[in-house]
Amino acid sequence: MKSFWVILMFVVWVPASYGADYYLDANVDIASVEIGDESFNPLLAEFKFGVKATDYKLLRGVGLELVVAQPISDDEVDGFSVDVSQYLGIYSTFTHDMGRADFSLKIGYASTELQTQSNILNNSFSEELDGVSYGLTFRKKVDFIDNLGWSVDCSRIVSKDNISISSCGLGVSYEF
Amino acid sequence: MSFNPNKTIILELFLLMGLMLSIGCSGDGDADLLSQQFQAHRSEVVSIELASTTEEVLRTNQSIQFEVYGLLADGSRIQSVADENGVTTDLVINDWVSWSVDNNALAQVSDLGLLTGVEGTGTVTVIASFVDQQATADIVVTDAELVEVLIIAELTDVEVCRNLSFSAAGVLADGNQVTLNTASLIWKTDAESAESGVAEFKDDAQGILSTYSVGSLSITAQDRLSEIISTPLDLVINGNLAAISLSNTVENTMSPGESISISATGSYPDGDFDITENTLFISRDEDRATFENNILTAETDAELGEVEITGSCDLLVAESAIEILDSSR
Repeated sequence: MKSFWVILMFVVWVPASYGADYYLDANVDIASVEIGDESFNPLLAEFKFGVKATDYKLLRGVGLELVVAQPISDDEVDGFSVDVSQYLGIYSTFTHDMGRADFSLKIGYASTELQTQSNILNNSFSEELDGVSYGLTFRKKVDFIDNLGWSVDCSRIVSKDNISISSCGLGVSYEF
Repeated sequence: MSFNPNKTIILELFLLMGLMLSIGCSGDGDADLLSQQFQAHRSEVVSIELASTTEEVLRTNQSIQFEVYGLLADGSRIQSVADENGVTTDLVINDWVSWSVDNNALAQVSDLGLLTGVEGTGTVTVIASFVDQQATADIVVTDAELVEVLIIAELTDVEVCRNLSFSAAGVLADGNQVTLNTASLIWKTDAESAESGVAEFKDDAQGILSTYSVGSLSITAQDRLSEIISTPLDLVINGNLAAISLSNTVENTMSPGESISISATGSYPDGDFDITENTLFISRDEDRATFENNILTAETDAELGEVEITGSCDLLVAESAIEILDSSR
């Protein structure tokens, strides 16, 4: 946890002292939770706060991103429901700026909590899964409001032997 | 002190990498538990049981295979998918569960429930976990040396042209008795019967004796590691085979280049038995069709017409004929 706060401090402090762009994204994501050969698709509300360096020649476009997501709805198949009850992520981002649009690759660490419930066995379980996570984001500013845009984001959140969680979402982006 | 922004960003990235390496890359969380819960939901398995095993003692470097069954709410075992004859069996769910032992120094268990003794002497508990259920079994692990090999036989006589299976137990220096894996032994018939062809162990790592003619013989089992040999076990091969008949599933016809399987059935006072493995098959016209074990293959340019075949065991011979037909008609 200490490492997390150290990084958070750098995220805020370093770019604030030197040229950087901040952004806030709010997305609605559809997750794909693969358990064995079955797929579940719960919905998530995803919020991202990120920063990317703009003035450093060598590291222009490099940044960090924090992601927090909350569940909107679970998904049920044959009486078995799956819900991504929590998703936290911290990513290193690499952005290619194309004027009023940019494209980012990200890699980092994500922690998720998955809740499952069996209506046949009448039991439920909750398990936290974490590990390396990666993804990509495309952002495009709208023409009539300078700082506002839309974004499309896809991430591989967790990948284990027999469980994987991915998500893709669409949302609004505000840069400042 | 001057502040270098590039160095700071690099430091920032190193910190991120450190965080990822310390907690991210390794990953955490029990994904097995969730997939097991889904498996339990699908199969409606509410608990598990470890199959009873006759093994209670395990030697170091030896293994015991455990089996786990899933139990439904009514206490019955979950069944396999029916085979082509509509028959189901208790489904072994070793690959659904998580396996562990309480003492890895004594013994280790594989992902599929194979327990192997490592070193030392003591009791180890094997644990099979499935969702919130556990099934356990206690096994004594010992590094005591093997001092005696005992052949275990249900019968000491067998009808000619039939097979007889054996297992073996080992007596250890500490007095414990263990079942020996047949593959850890060399199974042999005595030299005289081996030479005369009365009977043989086709695979010396399998305790399955194949018999071919009436007589008597003795067999031994030798531990491959210690080279300790069992006391010879005397056997009698009885001559109650009344007749042999040959059959196939293709109504005695085949095409050039085709292979068919021939079966042999022996008639005994206690019924008919498949003796294909013990029967010697011969084609009377090897230019047109030849046998490899019980598989008859017609040459691609074989002349059409009947090929006589024989199957023999002990002193009995059965004859039949297979007609090679033109497949283009």
